[in-house]
Amino acid sequence: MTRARGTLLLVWLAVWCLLAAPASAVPVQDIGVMTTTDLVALQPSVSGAQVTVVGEAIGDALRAGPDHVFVNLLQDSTAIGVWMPREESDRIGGFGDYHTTGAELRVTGIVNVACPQHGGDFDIHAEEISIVRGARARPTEPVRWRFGAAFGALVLAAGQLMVYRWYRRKRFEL
Amino acid sequence: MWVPFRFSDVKVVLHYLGALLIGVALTMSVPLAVAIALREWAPALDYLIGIGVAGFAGSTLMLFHVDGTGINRRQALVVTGLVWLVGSLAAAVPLSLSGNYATYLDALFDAMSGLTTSGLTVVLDLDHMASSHQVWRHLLHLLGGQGIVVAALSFAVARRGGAFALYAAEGRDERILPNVVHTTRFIWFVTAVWVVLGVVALGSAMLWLGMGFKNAVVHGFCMTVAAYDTGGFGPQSQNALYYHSGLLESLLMFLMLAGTMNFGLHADVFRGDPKEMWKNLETRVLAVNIAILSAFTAGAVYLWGVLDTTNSGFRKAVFHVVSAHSGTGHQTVYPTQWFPTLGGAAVAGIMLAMAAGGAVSSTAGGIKALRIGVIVQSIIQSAKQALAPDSAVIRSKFHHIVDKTMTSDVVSASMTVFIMYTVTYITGGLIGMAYGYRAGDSLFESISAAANVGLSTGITSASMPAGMKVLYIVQMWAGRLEFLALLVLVAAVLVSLPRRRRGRP
Repeated sequence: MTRARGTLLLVWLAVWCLLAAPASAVPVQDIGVMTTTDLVALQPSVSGAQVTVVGEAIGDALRAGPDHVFVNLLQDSTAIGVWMPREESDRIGGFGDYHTTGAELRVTGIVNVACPQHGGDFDIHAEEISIVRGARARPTEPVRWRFGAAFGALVLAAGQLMVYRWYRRKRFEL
Repeated sequence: MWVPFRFSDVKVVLHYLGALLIGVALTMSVPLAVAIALREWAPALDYLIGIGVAGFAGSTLMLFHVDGTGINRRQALVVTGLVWLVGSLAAAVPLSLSGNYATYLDALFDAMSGLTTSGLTVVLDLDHMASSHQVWRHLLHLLGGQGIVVAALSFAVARRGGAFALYAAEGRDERILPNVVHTTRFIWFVTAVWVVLGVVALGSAMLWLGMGFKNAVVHGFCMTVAAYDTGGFGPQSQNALYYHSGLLESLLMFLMLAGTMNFGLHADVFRGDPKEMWKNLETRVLAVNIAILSAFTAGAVYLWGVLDTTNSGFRKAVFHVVSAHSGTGHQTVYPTQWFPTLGGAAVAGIMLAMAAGGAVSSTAGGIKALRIGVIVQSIIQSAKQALAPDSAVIRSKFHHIVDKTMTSDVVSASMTVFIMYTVTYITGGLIGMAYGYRAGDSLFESISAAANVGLSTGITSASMPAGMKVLYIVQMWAGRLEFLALLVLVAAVLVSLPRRRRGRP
């Protein structure tokens, strides 16, 4: 290979790198549907990727800027904050707590393992939100045997306390 | 000479444990009232059962010593050693009935974690837990943080003799007011002021964030108590990350720092003498340690972490160093995020902060800033002595509430506690490794349990082996008692065993 050809090849490689590098960095990797537990376990390799998660909206919609809120989405035992426009959160009928199973949402958005916009928090910036299932009441009725157990325990405690007080009074009288 | 415990000693110990159990039963009326107010009928029954069980057990134990006469120092140490376990056993009853715990051992784990203001948790489905159970878990922080014995002294046991024996046995040595009972009531007064201020501040911030009134009040109370009592429980599974709010993190840091201060210093501030804060060796050590570790951790996050901006890294570093150093355990990262996101060096900084701990006579755990200050000053004194002429005698003083001379007794006491904590941290880490956990995670979790912090790398969960749960229960218990009362308890049992059992003829 002559010196001129070698130089030409090097210039061509340099130009190729300059053109190709940004092109390979721009597209957002789509990692499809994932559970929130897997998402948290996989970080930081998932940062910046597009993901779809399905989970229950819990707690409250929390203010995060003038027209956005954070809604925490629970799946299995892991909850993740989803940053979304306020009007989207207004569509959520109910949030999960002791009395309620919150609405189930399907959210597609960008994962931020350490979001620079939100103090380094792990969050998802929502791009598409749909409600899979509405909120519903959770069964919270007391189990019947516990009425008896509570009554029995209180009677025993009150009885034993009376025995103690009677015995104590008797000892001091002597 | 080892003096064995007689049956008469045992009867006095059982009587006082019974009285403290009655106190636990009475305290359960608070979550019961919350359950009724919020129409949580199943939890209301759980608390009625809890009151019945604790009340019956307490009354039965009190029958062992009906006269209820005074308690001596030895008996008080054993009562203090046992009260955390007995209190946890009773406090776990309603929790175990809540449906949020896989077994009674798990409920006991959380009750011990609550009372010792540790904050490690094995709860299931926390995001759907009843508000009354949330209040009870956090009330345990308040009871344990202010000192369960202090609580009892203020109300029930105070009228009998031996109040100071119980007070001192709990590891408190400051006499803010001449009378112990007045001192304990003063501690409650200071706490009440901070809790009211905290609930108003956090509750207002939560309302501004858009939370409903009920949630703002319940979360405001829970987070205030968890921060001020350096506990670390939270009403949601994401802990402080749930709120995604810098304002809330700032308020929590303020409360955590207030909670980690010595009650004697709080008293000075209330009396209008804030200068004592700056003169005190302990406050200076805390300030220097927090500043150095925050700078180190922030630098390490910047160099080796994946946080994108300096601002994010600094915010995470300072919040977690304050949370760790104060012994609180609030966190804004997921347990599995520590090493991959912040980097190993930053996690080492957090571990050092956890191990060091807060102030003596506060709700914080760990080695404590005063002891670290004393040890550092004694090292400097030794270096000065080595360089001084043979005839010179080097003496140094330090200021903690009053001016004190650095004696060998003071240094020795600090070194003993330092060594015991260090051995406990390492032993717990090694046992965790033996169970198959990674060395870094295992040491982190062990320090967190023994220093009553509550930060977690994810080892602590309902699915961890029962042996690990028992290990952390013992570590939290021993760490809260600073070992002395627990060692006295073990020694009392051993020397009181019949001689034949100890292998003697």
